[in-house]
Amino acid sequence: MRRQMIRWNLLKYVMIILVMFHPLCIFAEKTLVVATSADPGHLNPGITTGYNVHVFADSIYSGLIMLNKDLKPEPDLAESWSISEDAKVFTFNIRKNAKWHDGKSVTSEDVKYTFENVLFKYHSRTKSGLGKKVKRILTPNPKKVIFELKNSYSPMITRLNVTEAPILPKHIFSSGDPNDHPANLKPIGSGPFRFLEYVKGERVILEKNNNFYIEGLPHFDKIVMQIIPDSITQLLALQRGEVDYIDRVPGSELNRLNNDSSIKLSKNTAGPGGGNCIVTITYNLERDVTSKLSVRKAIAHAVNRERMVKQVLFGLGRVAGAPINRGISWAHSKDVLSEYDYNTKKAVTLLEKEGYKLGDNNFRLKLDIVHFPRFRKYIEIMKQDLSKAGIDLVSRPLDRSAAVSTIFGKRDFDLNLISYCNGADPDIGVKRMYVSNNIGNIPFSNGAAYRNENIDQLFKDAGEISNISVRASKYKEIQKILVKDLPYWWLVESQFLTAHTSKISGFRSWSGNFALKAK
Amino acid sequence: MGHYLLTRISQIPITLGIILGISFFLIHAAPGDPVAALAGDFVTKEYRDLIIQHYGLDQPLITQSFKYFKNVVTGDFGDSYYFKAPVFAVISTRVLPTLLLIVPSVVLSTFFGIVLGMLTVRFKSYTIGIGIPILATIIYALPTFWLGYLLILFFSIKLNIFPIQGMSNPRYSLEGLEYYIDVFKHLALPLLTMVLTQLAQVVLLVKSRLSEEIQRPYFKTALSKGLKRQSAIFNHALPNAMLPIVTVLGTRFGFLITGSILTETVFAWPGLGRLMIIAIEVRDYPLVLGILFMLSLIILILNLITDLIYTILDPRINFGSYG
Amino acid sequence: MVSKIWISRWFGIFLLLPSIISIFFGWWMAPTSFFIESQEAFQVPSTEFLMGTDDLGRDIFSGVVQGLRNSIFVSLGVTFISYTLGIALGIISGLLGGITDQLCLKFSEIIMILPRFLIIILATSFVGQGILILIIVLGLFSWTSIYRIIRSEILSLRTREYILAAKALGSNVGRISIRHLFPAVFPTAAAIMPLSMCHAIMTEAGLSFLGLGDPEIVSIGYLISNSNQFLFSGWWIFTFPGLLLTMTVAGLMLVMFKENESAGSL
Repeated sequence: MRRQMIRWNLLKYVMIILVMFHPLCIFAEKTLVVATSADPGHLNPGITTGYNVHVFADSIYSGLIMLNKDLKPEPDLAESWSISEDAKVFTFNIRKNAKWHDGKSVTSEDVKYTFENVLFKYHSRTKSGLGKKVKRILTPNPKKVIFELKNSYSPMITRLNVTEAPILPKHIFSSGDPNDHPANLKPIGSGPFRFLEYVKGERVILEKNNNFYIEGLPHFDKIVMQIIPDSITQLLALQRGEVDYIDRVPGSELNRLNNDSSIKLSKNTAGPGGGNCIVTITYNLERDVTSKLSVRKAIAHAVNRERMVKQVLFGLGRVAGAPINRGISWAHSKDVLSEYDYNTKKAVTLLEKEGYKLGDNNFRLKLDIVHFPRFRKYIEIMKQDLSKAGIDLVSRPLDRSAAVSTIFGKRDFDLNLISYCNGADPDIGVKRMYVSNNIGNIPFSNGAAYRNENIDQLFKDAGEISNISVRASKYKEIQKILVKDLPYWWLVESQFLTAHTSKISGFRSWSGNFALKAK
Repeated sequence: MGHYLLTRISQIPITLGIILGISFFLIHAAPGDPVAALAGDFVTKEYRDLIIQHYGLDQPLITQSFKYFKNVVTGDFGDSYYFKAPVFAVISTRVLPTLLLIVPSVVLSTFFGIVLGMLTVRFKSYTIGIGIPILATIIYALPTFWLGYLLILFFSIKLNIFPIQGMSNPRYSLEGLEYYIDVFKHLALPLLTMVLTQLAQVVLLVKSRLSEEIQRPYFKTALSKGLKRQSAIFNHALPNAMLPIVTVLGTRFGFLITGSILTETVFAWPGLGRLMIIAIEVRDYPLVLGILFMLSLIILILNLITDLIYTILDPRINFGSYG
Repeated sequence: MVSKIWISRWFGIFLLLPSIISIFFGWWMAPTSFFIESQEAFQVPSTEFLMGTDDLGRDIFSGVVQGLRNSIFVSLGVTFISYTLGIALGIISGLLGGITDQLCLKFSEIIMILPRFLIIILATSFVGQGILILIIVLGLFSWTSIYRIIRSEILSLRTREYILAAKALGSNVGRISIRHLFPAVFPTAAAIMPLSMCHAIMTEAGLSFLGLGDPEIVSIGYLISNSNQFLFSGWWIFTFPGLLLTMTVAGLMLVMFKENESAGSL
């Protein structure tokens, strides 16, 4: 009898083992597995602009609108809206069937609360962009919210998606401090997916929101967002089918994966962390050498930007044509940087004229450049290019926190390299680099310490006007001045690559809620 | 001996205190602060001030240190800035995966190292006697992630036996026995990587010690008495050779924890090593100190055990003063 | 038995040949700085570029030659510093015993536990990232293992008759250390030197991998960390530096194969 029991147990375990080693386990649920490299830490997209949080949390929450492929607004929480003639009053009608994941209805009170108590305090981009512009927020009825602005501001709409302005539930967060609330780890949102579990360092599990306000969406029952730090491991996992979607693929894989029919790639200029990014050199205008315009011009001539697009970006991007990214097409001044062509001879002439002669070691000048370790490749190319002009470029890689405090806190640099993301409108990500009241220990602000009253005024005006062609002319004026003064040197506009198995389609990789329509 | 033990144990809190103290000032001296990581890519002055005040980082360092240590003594290590949860809650979920990786790797590499070491000495053939140590050395010398990728390419992609990354299957959640089997499958490759990188040390050590013992008179006597080479090695030479192997065990744990970082990165294994790197990068002071505390405690205890075993095994050593 | 050791040793030397050649003839084989020259990128190994070019068009062969040289020098520097500290403290600690010993042990424990990359991050942010600071910091934090080994040797040596005899004859501590103890432990220390160098090379490689190395100096670690992502798109970028690193480290380990060695661990 006992022997029979043992045999049965043995059989049971053997079967389980066999089943477990068999890769085909059929389950009714449709699960999407996503690979990303950074641990979010928490899941509140309203208190940070960090990519690592938004890539997870933007599928849990929603914004008033969402952006389509051309970065134009479509309804999200708001089913319709109207803008006053003078672009000062924005009225939004919230969907009747919009509910929070705990069942309560999404109301205008939530919107008002989120903006006044969360975004304007903690979400730096929205705070600096909209904070001072909003006069007041009215909630005439639970499903209608009105923004009254001090001046006209037509880009207002584009800044209301889930990445820039996620709406948080008032009834949950008002009971404490949004920065330290338990709901940061167990979020209640209104988005297409609801939160299930967050295993630190491993994954975040989301499940389908069955009461989502858009009929028929989302398609997937579950999303598992797996944290995989190494990009090669991510690719191997995609190949083997362990993951279905990778949010950032290194450019070097472009050619190889293009030829793989089981994998589909897509190029994007925008994503949950911001878009329209330009990798930029900042000149420290407060230092002797870099304060000289001819030196700055020389450096601009000496750097081969085409090569950067080819060898660092692997073709995923373009040489920057203007201080404002091509993606903001109405404000972008075409080819305005072309006068600074890649010409080592011109660079040398400029330096010689300024009095920098060749020394014994074949260099005429020594400059340092502070940068994040991940931009190493750009620096290596610059080193080669600048040495041909006689400039010895010393690389100073620092980790993110140290770099930020060295650049913006101590201002201890000759040059630095940062990727500045313009966003959907110049007022969001461009202005901060050039206005004089943005100089100081403010990370990612006016690192060059550029001071120009004209520029300040132009930016102010452009932000307050609603007529798009008038705004465009102001921005074009700004870019003309910037090209003359050259406080920065704009290198390349970068794109990023996402990859997914071709069995699934419908990803919206430019947006925070990238898996909304995927199936 | 008992007196010695007591003194050593009572010294552990002191050592921990010193380490924590030095680390506190070290991590605060590092340029940068938590703001950059918490805010994202765009920071305003008000946000910065808000965060700094919220975490009390604007107070003089001495004041901050008093507050911190006062809390530590009562067992409160504070909340992690980045994970917004108590430090120990964050660490405790990672301790088990780390131990799962380290302890079996030490045990297995020691075991197989001894076996392989014995083999090289037992057989007089050149192929084995040279081949095994050389092979082990080359495997040790390979960059860790090379080894990891090779194992993945072979076992996961070609043979399709083991999964590539993570600690458990993301697609379906499993319960009970199935879950443990799943974790085991995910553990296989990272564990193999760790074992292989440590194997050489043990093999070489065992081989050299055994070779030494074989030269000794007692061994030759045993052989001449008719004892087979195999048993002679196993029963007589090996026990005498164990001493340095044991000593080495203690020091290995210390280096392993930081050494596991690369393995954890390649296999996305959620261990303490990676957590430490993230914590330092985002300047999450409470978390960094919490992890340091935990790691230091483990190493100190292991050192103590090793030293004790050492004294038991070699009575020649005494710890008193000289003269 | 003896021949086995010699075969291993010679194989080790064979593996070390590229490094040795790089040190002595590198200036002739790869004259131009790795960072400056640039050709067509992603070239497969050919007669002109023995190991191909990397993603920025740099000659990998030059990189490897210069990298091996630098890595070896770095490891020598680190070993020198850590050995000086470790042996000195080991002798003092083992000989004097008592409070001194306990203090030194405690000190070594603390040094061993403090994570090296934290120290390096701090040091580099104060003084800047550079090869010198790397060598000094690594040296200052790598002496604990040699210290422990020397100390345990001393502990068992000091009860030996000739030491007791020397003491009875009136020699003071200093003399005993230098005349008797140091020569006694030196063989052990020297035997482990290749292992210490290995550790230094691999630590430097790991630090470069994490982005903490000196970006102005080519090192094998730098080359490998650079090549990681080209596993599929450029196998030669990935393979050669790694291969040479493996050969060098394995060579160092094999060279120190010795019959009667109670160490073999660090």
